[in-house]
Amino acid sequence: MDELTYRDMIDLYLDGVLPSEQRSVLFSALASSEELQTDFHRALAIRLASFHHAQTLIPPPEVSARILAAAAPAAEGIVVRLRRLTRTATFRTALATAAALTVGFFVGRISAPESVPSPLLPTTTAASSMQKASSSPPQPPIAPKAAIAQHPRQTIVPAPIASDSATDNGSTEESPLVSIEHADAAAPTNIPLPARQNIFVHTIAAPSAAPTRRTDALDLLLAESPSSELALSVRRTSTILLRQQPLVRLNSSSPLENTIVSIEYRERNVGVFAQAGFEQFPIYEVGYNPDGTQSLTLHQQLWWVGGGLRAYLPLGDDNLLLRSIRPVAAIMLGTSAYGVLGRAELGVVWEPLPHVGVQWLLEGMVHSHGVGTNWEHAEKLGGSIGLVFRF
Amino acid sequence: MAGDYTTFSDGELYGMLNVREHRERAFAEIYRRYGQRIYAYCRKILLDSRDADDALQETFLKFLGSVRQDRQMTNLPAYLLTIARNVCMDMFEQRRPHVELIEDVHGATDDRSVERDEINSLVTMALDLLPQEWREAVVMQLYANMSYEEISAAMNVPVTTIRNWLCRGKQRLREILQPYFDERDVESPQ
Repeated sequence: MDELTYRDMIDLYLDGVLPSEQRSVLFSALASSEELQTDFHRALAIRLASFHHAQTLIPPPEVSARILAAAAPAAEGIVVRLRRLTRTATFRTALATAAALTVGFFVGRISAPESVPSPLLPTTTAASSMQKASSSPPQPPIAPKAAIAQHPRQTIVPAPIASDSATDNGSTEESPLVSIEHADAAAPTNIPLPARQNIFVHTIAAPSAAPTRRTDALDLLLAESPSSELALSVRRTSTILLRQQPLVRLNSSSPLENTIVSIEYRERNVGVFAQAGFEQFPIYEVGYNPDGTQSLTLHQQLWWVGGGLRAYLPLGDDNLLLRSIRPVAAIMLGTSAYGVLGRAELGVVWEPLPHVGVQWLLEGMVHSHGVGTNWEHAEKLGGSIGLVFRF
Repeated sequence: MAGDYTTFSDGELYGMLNVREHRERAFAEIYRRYGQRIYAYCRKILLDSRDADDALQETFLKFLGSVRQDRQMTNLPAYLLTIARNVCMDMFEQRRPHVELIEDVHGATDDRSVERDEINSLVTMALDLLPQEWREAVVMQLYANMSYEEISAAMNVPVTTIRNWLCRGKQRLREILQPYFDERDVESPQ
C-alpha cells in the first residue's frame, strides 16, 4: 500500500495509526466531500457495532472453569508430574550427584589397596620382639621393594607397637588394636604422630617411638600433607530457597546460567579463592523514577565476583570412601552489578583421584542493593555440584 | 509476594507457569487477560458458540501443554492467537461452517443497540464473503482487539501486509453493506 487513498486514511485513522501530518489531509478532504463523510460514518458504525458485540462474547462460566481446572495441581497426572520433576534443575543436580558418587565409589574400589601381606603389617609378635630388643631404638619396618611394587598405593603403617602387657604375659594372640590401646595407656607422653600419608604416594613413615591417637584439633589441621596446590573448580548450582522474590524460571538457554567458577590456592587445609558466578537470583533493583518516586526493577539473573577463605577438615581414616572425602567450609565477600553480597558455603570435596575431585556445596548468599538508605536485601539458599581440578 | 498477579508482565506470568506453586494463578491471570479475546475470535471465525467453546478450551490446553522453561515469551497474545487460529482452522476443515444469522443479543434496549446488533449480524455475514486472510485479520482486529503487530505475529506476515489486508477488508465490508446503509439512510435521513 504505497499511496494511501482517503478511504485508507479513514480506516487507519479509526485504527489510531494515521500519522499526524496525514490527519490534516484527511480532515480537509472530509470537510469538502459528503461521500467521504458517509464512508467515514459507515466505517465508524461497523467498528462500534463490532466493538460492542465483542464485549458480549464472553466464554461460558463452565468452559472457563474447565480451562482453569487444567492448570490446577490436582489435575496433573502422575506421568505429568514425573515429567515436570525430571525437568527441574534440582532433580538433575541430584541425579548428577548420585551418578558421580556411584562412579566415584567404583573408581575408589578399583584403586583401593588390596589386603596387606604380613611383612607390611606390624603384628603383635613383631612388636613384642622389637620391644624386647630395646637396647637399640625401635626401627620402623621396611617394606621389601617387591612388596611395594606389588602394592604401589599401599601406605606403610608407621611405627611398631609396644605393648607392655603383651610383653608381660607373652601373649601373641592379641590383636593389634588391643595393642594400640595398651600402648596409649603405657605411654602417657604424647609423641607427635607422623603426618598422615597420602594413600597414593609411596612413602615410608618416619621413625617414631610409638604411635598415638590424633586427638588434638590443631594437630589435625596442620598434619595434613598436601603442602600447596592450585585448584580450579567449575560448579553448577540450583536454587533451593529464595526469600525476597519467589523463583521465576527463566526462559534462557544459556549454558553459562547457574555456573560458578572458582580458582583457589590451597595450603595444607586452608585456601584462598576468587570466585565468579552467573546464577538465577531474582532481586529488585532499587531506583527512582523521574518524578521522585521509588522504582523497583526486577532482575532475574546475577553476575557476581568475589573472594574468600576456605577451610578443609582432614581426610577421614575410617573407610575407603571417607578416606577421600574432606568436609569444607568457606566464606566469601563479593559484588554484583547492583550491590554487594556475602556468601557462605558448607559441603564436602571428594578427591578419589590425584588431580580431580568432586565438590558438593550447600550455599547461602545474601545480596544487598539499594540507593542511599533505601536498601533491599535478598537471600538465597542453593546447592551446587562440580568438578575440582588440582595442580 | 502479594497475591496480586495482575502486576506481572506476560513474560513473567509465562515463566511462572513452570513453577508449581505459581502455575495455577499465573494461568488464571493469563486467561483473564486474553480468554475473552480469544473466545471472541473463535466465535467470529467458527460462527458457532459450541465450537467456539471447544476451540477456546483446546487453545488454552494446548498453550498450557506447550509451556517450556527455555522459551522466551515476547508476544503472548499473538502466541495464543496463533494457537487459536490453528485450532479454528482444524475445526473449520472438519466441517463446513454455517452462518449464525442471529447472534446473541444482549441488552438490546434502545434503538442504537438494536441498530448495532443489526449491523453486526450483517457484518458477520459479510465477513464470510471476504478472502480468508482479510477475514482473519479483520476478525482479529475488530473482535479480538489485536494490534497490527500482534496480528502480524499471529499470521506470520509483515505488518505492512496486515495493514493492507485490514484496509481492503474493511472497505470491502462497507461495500457489501452499502445497500443496507443506503436503505437506512433513506428511512432515517440525518
